[in-house]
Amino acid sequence: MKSKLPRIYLVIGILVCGWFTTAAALGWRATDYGILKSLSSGGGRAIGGSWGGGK
Amino acid sequence: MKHRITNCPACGAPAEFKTASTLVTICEFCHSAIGRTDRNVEDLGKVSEIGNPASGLHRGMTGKWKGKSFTIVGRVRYRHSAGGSWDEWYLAFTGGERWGWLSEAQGEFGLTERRRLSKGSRLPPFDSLDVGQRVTLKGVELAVREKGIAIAESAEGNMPWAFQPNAEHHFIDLYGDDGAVATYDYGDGTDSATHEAYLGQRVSLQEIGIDTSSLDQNAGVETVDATQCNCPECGGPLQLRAPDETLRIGCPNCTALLDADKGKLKVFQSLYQQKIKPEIPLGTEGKIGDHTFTVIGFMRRFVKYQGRRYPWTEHLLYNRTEGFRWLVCNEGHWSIVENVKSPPRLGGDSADYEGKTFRVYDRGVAYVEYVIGEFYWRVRVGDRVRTADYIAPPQMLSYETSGHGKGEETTISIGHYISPGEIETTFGVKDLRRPWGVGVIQPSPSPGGSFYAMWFGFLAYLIFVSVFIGGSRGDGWLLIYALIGISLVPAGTLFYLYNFEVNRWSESDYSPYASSED
Repeated sequence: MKSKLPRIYLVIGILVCGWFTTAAALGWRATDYGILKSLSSGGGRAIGGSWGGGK
Repeated sequence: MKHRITNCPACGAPAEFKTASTLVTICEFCHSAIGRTDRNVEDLGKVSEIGNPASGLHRGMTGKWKGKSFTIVGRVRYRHSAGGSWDEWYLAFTGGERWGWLSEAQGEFGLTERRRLSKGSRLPPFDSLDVGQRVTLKGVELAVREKGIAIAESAEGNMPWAFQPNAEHHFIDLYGDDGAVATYDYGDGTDSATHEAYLGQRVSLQEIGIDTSSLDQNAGVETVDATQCNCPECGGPLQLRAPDETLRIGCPNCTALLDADKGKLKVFQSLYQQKIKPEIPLGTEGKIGDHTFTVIGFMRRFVKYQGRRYPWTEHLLYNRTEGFRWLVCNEGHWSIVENVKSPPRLGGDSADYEGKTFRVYDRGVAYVEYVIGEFYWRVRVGDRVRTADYIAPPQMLSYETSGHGKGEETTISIGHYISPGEIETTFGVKDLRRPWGVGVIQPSPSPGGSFYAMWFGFLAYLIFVSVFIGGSRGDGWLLIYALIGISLVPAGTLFYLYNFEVNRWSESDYSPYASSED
């Protein structure tokens, strides 16, 4: 564990940091899954507008 | 009495008191103990012939301790009430007025000198001291290791004390930090008996200037033929590897227990047990540190808890100068065990030893289930001892307390975790069973400090990039994804390590991870 894990983690960390550096430099935006929007509008039963029937 | 040469009152042969302070000498011809009185000598009775010492030491050898030369002039062999024996050598320092007491037991040596008690004072009463209790002698803090009764059963040469053949001796052995050792001698235990205190330290023969190259390499091997013995029960061949230390033998052929007494073997107990094969065969040699140890005995023991048996095996290792070690195997997890050098400090559920704090893991009663090979005490199937184990992985402190008659002894040992691979390399054995589950003192598989340093480094870098490169255009969600990305591995590692510790303590009643419902 002492020898392998740090090396694997170093590779993962460099990849993630590299990706984020590129994203920040190029102004990439994350896909909007609507989570924030749904949270701010009350959430719960309002998601999707209905339970699937009625209207 | 000024003369130093006299005639034995029993046989008339010449007998010598080598120094003016010698009180008893043993006649070389008839083995009578000759006591020195104010005006004459007296016959104190015959002593049995003394067995060879395991160390190869002998009278006439010289050495040096704290700048003073000495000569070995005598020895008494004591028989412990539990069956074992040890030797006490008498060192006459140049000038003849100063003496040293050199004890030899299981390959370990302690050199002590008599310390005068203050006028009118006596030792603490024998019954008032308990094993583990702390006392101070001449400013040295000590702990009681053993209290017991021994018989001075045989002797040779000169003695600086009033030796009486086969007299009982009540004693308390103590030890302290930095190798300090001491003995309280209560004589025969009566109220009128003389009390003596001895204080000194553990030594090696090299430290006291003994020329170890001159020791008889075959000492201790003469009493029993080391290569040709036969079990008196089944007639099967027996090979003894520590004949002079051995008191009990478990026949590997028929599992009968045999007594070894001055070279003679006799059946102690016939046992028709199913044979258990030792993981490391008897007779196997392995180098530990600079010394070669031989596997001479094997036993299986168990503790019972809530109706379930928890067995483990122990291999007894022997080296002539280093004494004994144990290889303990529990569910494929191995540890090498030796006696502690100084008394740990016990404090409720913890113990401090050599700067480390050990936490209690288990307390119970351990039973001997199966025995083969040689042992330096009179082991029996069914023997029981009270145990308490304290852990600070990869080490374990084990307390084993046994009572015998009025005596009580606590053996404290320290075990170090050792992997099966290392055992295989050291002893040249193959295909040892691999461990199952988490061992009690298995080292935690820590990824190391650099791993966590990287985590914090990545975190800092991501925040730096977010602020100084992304700036106002940066997307907070991307930062969150990146932070999660670099934290998954450390979080998983921490969860694994936590689970590892929970599993380590799963069999313990003292688990720090136990919930209130457990």
